[in-house]
Amino acid sequence: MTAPVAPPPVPGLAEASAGIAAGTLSPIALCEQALARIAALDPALDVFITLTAERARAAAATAEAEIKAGRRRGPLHGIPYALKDIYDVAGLPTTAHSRVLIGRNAPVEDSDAAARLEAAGMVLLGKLATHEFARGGVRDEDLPFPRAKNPWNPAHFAGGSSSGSGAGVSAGMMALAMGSDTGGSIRLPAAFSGCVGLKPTYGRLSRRGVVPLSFGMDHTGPLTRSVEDCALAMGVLAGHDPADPGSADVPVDDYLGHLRDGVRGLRLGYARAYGIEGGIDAGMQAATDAAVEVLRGLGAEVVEVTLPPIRRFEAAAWTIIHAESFAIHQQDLRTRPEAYGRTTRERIMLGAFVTGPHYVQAQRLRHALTREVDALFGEVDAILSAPAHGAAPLAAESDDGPWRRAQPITAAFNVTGHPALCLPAGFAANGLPLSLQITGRAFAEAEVLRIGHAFEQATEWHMRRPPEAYA
Amino acid sequence: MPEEMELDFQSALRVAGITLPEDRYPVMLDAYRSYRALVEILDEPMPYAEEPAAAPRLAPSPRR
Repeated sequence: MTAPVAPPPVPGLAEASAGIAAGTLSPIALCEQALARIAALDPALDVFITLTAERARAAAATAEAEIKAGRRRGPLHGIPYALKDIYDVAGLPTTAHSRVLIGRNAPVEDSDAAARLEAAGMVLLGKLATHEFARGGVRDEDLPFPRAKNPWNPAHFAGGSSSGSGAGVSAGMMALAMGSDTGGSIRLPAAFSGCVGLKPTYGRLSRRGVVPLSFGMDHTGPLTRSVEDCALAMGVLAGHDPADPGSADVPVDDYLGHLRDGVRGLRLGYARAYGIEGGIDAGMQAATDAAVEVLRGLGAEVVEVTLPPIRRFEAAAWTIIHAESFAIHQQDLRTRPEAYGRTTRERIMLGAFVTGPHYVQAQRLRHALTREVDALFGEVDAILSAPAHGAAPLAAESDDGPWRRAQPITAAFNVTGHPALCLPAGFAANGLPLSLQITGRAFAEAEVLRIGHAFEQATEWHMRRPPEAYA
Repeated sequence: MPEEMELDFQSALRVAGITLPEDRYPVMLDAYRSYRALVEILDEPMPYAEEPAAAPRLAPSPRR
């Protein structure tokens, strides 16, 4: 049976919001467009684990009635979104892409993110594929659901672990999907799928109601098609949550207010040597160099900066992630290890090798590294770097072993907690997207978005759409 | 000392109470070796003042 013909990609948040405000776009029509596009493309891309079509139709009808009655809740009212399937929604199963949770996890409360997006009047389309417990890999033959595919080429890795979020946004199924990022899991799917992903400052967005991987390293955040959309989403998502022990009670910025201020007068640090140390390929290097020149051309002063050595970040990151994820999963790993996919099981089992002193030393090193990166922000307003070794590798060639030979170079900013944005910044020779990472001072998401927006407006990378030949 | 490293590996698995399928033993042993090499950095001394943020709370207890 052939899939139905796909309607056009859904509009971005800003465009949809403007259309709804002007009365030229109906939330019901927008929801039907999203559902039709999902019906056409999802058989090839495997983005969704749970599609909540009837719930979405009901929510869209409610939104449309409220808006027509003059009770528009805000800029995102009536616009569809989706959640990585580690976010709780009352009445829907949270699977974390794992047999371990099937039949065992029926949330009765919304996660903080879902509660905020629902209160804003958004329309939930469903729950999205992830790497199992945000820790597995590409290998899916022993998982209950298939892996999400890269819309630019389904034979290639979609990035992880928020793979369904990146693929769904890039494929135009929804304009906003929530992801989580423990070592790069928002930024890498954004980079590999050619969309925008923001890992906010640790503590900026609540993690309440999100299946944990590593309490100290987990960040929640949005994936969108543009930087402006990311700013719109942050306006709804950011805020203190006393029920999340890691939530920071810091005033929320106006993320749109200075979005168009440009980069003139800013001093940007280019961590070129960090990428070389991380082993990025020539295409990634050329794209990052070119992106830096674009920002220089827009009036920013650019200087090279030196980040601490990658091995120090890796020692802190993977000791903490291994230990904390093993602490969470140890009982199931002892009693029913076969319930996990092999990649997840083996990666989490690495936590059995972490000693108490090493865990403490990793926390001390984390503190030192955070201070060292903070010191750089005494000299520059943001740090530019490559987020990945190159474009998305072939799924069949992805490293699914317990110890990855090339660890993600994004994890540095999970260690330090600084906000980091990835956005489209070119294409590799094989036609797959490349990305730039912009890292800012703690809680300076607004400045990071401002820089990203300036870059985006000066380039056309974000306007290119994946082919739809697979549909 | 590869033999000692392997004994450490087996001990860590035993203490953690987890078992491995026979065919995955070499892969996990290799991962263990890689992790041990990485965390040599953590054996380097640090100043006493380099303290993790270990406080259980940063706000007063609620009042009656």
